[in-house]
Amino acid sequence: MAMTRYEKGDYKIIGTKRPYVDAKEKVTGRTVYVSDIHLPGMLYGKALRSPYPHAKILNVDISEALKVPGIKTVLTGKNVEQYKWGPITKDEYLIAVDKANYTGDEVAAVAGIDEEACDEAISKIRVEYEPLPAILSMHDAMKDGAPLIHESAPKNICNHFDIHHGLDTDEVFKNAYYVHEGEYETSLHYQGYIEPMAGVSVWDAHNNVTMYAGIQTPTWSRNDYAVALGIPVENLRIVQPPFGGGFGGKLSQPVHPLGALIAKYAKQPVRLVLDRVEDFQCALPRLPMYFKIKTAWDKEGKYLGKYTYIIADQGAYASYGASIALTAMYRIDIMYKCQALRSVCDLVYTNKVPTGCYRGFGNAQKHFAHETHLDEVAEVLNIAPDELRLRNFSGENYKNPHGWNTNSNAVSDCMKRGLEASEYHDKRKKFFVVNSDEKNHIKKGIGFAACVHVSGNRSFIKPFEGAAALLRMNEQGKVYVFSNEPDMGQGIRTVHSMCVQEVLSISEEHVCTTTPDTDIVPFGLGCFASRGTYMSTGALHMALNDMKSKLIKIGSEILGLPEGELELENEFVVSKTDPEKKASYADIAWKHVCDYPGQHILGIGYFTPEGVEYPDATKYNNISGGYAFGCQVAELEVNTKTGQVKVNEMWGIHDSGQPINLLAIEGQVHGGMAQGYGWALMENLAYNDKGKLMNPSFLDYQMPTAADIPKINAEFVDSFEWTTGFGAKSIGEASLIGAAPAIQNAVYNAVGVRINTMPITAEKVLKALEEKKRHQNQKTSVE
Amino acid sequence: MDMKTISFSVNGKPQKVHVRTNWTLSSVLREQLGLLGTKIGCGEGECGACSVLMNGKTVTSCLVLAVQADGAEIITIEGLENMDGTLHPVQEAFVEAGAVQCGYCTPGMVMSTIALLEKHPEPTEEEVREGLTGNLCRCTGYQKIFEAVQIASKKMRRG
Repeated sequence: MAMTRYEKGDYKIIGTKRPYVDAKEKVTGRTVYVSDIHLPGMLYGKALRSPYPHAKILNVDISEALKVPGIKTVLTGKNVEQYKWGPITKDEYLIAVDKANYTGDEVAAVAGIDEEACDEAISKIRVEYEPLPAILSMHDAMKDGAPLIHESAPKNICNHFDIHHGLDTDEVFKNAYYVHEGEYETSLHYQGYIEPMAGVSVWDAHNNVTMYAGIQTPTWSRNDYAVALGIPVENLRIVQPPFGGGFGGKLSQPVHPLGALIAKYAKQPVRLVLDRVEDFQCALPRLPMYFKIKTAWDKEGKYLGKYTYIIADQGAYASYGASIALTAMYRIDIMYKCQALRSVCDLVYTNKVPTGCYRGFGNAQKHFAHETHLDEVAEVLNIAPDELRLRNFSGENYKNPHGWNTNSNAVSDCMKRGLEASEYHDKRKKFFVVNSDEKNHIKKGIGFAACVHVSGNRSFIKPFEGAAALLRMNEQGKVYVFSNEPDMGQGIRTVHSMCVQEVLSISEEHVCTTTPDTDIVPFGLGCFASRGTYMSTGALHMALNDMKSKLIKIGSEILGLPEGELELENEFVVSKTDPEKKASYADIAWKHVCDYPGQHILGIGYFTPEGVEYPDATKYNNISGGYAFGCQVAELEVNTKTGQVKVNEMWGIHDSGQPINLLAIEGQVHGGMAQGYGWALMENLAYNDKGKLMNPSFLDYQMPTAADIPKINAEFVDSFEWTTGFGAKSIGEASLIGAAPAIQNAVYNAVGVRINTMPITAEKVLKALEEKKRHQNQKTSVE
Repeated sequence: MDMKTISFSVNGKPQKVHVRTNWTLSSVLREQLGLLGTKIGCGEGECGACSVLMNGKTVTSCLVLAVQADGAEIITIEGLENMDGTLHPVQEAFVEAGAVQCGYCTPGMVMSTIALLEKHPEPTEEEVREGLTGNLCRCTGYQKIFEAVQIASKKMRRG
């Protein structure tokens, strides 16, 4: 079957810069976020958390806590009805029953009239623990004699994957001109949204639950939450108000259903908002991963084969670990034409914070390792890093050994433009001269990484991929947009509004983009896997054409002119030949509700990315309709006396298909690269040898501030993804994943050392420089 | 816990509230006065989301006890708009520049920008960075916020 191929339109609004539709509400302080919601009769919830990383719970005495004035209910793992749940592996209770598996694990919960009463009650719960030996490093999880965290996972291995497609890797390695091996390890990276995890829940007498939640996946997460709470999915309604950032952390997670569980027993609405320490302790940060990568090359730099071994640390509970591990194993294989691919991964439990989705979803980890690795290879083969990539980049319509295929693909353009914009080649020459001066202790470097991500990942959810959009024109001619893809600050409501304005020729004031309420919006999956814009604008394109044809049809009846002679202009259906002959949307909308009593004009659309199928048992089949590419560049200096790295400027050049809102997509690149920058150089949740998180505050867990963030330049190459109506691919995750390897490659360019274990701190750089010096001295003395 | 009555001015209006002596200014603004624009991101004075102006200077209102604000003049994000609904130039600039994504840090960031421009009407890049260093933003990478500060500076100097 021939694929539908959409063409780029002559856009007036799409591709321009538009202020976000909700910005005015936000700058005036009027936006009500989840943690601002106060319902009549509402109580506050709070959890008691384990002080031990691994301990048997022998007894929980709540008698004193119940006596605290203002306390309505005190819950333990044993006095509630609850079920093991989890988005992929059902391994977690909302309140631990017999055993706590990390410092921060919920062991009891209370509801009270204010936070002070809750705090007092929490302090009066007496828990008798029997501490157990804990696993605090993923490298220890599979060792003989390691304590077992979950009975269901022998050797603490939750999943073992082995994926092999294309040519035989062993054969390829045997016959290759050059084989390169490298080891890399990534750190525990916290999302750092400014509004902590929050939810407000109402549990009615018929076991219907309404949950106001900061959530990226309102409809889909109902399935997970309903399991945890033991209610039918249809009893759970999720309303998604504006919320203060997600970055992947706010898919299915325990705070929302725990709040509902407390509300059930309190028999009053309950607001559960984590304090910042709790959020650090038990949100779902990025999985740390260890990589061993082995690649095969011919003399001319042709990429022949790759073997990857990964240990992925999912902490105490699985969350989305399996999908994330799979992404780390093979996502990057759509960017390079390598024909022998094998990836093996052990996804292990440890007694640390459960890890989960964070912008990049395993692919960020892999990019750090792989794009570092490629620069290492380039040096050995004596081929420039850009030239090595250029010789191996996939192009348009490339099908890889996993069965994935690209449609639009401008990765070469991204790299070319990125190197040009940053003056990479000139600077490499200039810096070489400057750095050769031994008296100069500030060494300069520039480096880059290429990147790829999906626009929706078909392997995530089996039943379907796609999105729906529902448009409703009310009796005054105002258009309402209903979508299941939530706005968490990335600006998808503005994107939707712009698409409506473009096709219907309607003013922004007459477009209302609603926030998801699962009782109202079409069924859908939400915003993760960088799917929001690609999927929802695909559906919106169809819904808009549906509404457009209805407007033209009714306009034709009113005006007595054939439909073919009519077009839409400034909220009128107008004759193409005689602009005096026109009917306003308001008149058309009113005629429709009168002719079909009360019924509004609807526009219905849905979108399935063509050529995308759920992976088979061997993980074969194309997982995305729109692979988005980019090149990120970092220019920096390293102080060889202190080891300190100071990034001066970064560039993010992307192929995101057709940008819809240029203002927002630039903002995505800035924000993503800033997070990648922080991850590369400063961020890491650090545990002590007792399994306690050492830096659960913004003071100790350092995120980039206004003082240290470098200048970031965002640019987009000309591209149009022909599988979706408006040609848009993704940016959310692609924007983060190149920064860390670009910085790593720039550090190497400056001082000739690589810090393959993140983050690249001054201490590690200094140590590596000293080792390098010692090594050189030894060499000189031998000579 | 002891209770005390405090009188202060909030956004130009006199307020008299009965507070516990351990309540913070942010909790009184949010819970007693319904001024939810002042956000809580950490409760430890580290993220800056709760920044308000107290006697013309920015404070993190989650660290100020309400009793310390007795007699003070407080301006919150809700106090910037004019009666006719026109925005303060700093608010306008944040909208125009796209400096607002999730918006949770925005009220604090706007308040700090106002204080910054008060001190440096034509700020250098360094002065902007220093002036906003107490306000964390995780969405924007600060780039468009820097832009917004310069736009606001121009707007305010134009009057």
